[in-house]
Amino acid sequence: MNYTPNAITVGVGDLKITQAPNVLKTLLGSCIGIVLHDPVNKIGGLLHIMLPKKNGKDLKITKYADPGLPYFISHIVTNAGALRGTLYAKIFGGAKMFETNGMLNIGESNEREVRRILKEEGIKIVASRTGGTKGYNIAFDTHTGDVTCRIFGETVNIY
Amino acid sequence: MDITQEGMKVVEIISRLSIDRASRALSKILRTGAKISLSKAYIADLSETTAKMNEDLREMTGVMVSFKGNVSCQLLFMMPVTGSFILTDLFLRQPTGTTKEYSEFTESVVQELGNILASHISNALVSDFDAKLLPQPPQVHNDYAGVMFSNLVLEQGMTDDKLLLLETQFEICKTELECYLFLVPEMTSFGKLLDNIGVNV
Repeated sequence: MNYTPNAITVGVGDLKITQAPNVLKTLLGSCIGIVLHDPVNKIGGLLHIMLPKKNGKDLKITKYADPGLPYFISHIVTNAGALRGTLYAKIFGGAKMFETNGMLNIGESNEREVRRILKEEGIKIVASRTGGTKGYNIAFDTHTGDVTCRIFGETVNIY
Repeated sequence: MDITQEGMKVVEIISRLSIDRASRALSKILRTGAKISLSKAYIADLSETTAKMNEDLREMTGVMVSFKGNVSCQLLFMMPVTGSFILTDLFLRQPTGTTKEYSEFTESVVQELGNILASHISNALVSDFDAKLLPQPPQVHNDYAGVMFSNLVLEQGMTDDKLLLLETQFEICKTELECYLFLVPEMTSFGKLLDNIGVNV
């Protein structure tokens, strides 16, 4: 098959959903990147959250694991046509970066909340790489479901 | 939060004055012509700006400084890792090319330069605009440029989907060193500063 995938970059607090052969990519520090993939229809999405819970202000919900992740799951099924029963997740990021303004361990809090929500929603995490103190460069191939991950200073791994 | 056109002009003036002081301090400490100039000040969308910066996979050395007081602000000073070797040589008054690998020395130099830049910027705001601003201990980090930038805007992103971003251009004489200095003032507190000096925000 010949195809030229489009690479779509996802920023902080953003959600992008697309289908094969496109690739979704992002850089992660203390934020968590959540990949959802429907391997049957080859539809996938990447949500880049920065905080565990919404703080009551009228801000973009995709910045938060709660309610951003439930929104992501609902959206990929209802609007993008993914099959709920085939969805699986991969999670990355949550590093402990600069210590600013009491945001120590925000990465861990983000990861905890993401795992809690995915468990509640009945979506299995089939791969994850989190923690550490360096940034993550990830690229999610919606055709294969593979996530290529290179942590700063380390070699490339495929999850 | 939005800032009026008049407010943005004042932001630019305030930024130029404080960055100019930092520029002169840097020239003095490096004993070479160093010029930092404000290239733009604008309100940016958090997701769009970070998506753009996420394209930048260069490996950088950076120092982040938080300012606390009645104006909160984050500063990020970063350069390619190899650039930090040039800065180290300039700082230590040794021939360029002497420093060949990243070490505790390089980290100390970057940290100290961050300290100097932060102090002069905050001094300008304190003396000229009656702000109460205290730089916190600088933190040095090596990482992808996009990751450093995302961390810079994290605090502002907790309270707003937009951020006030000040970008600068760096020129250091006789070197091809690329440095970047970003300032992200916390918009509400910065708005109060502008209010205090009689600017319609």
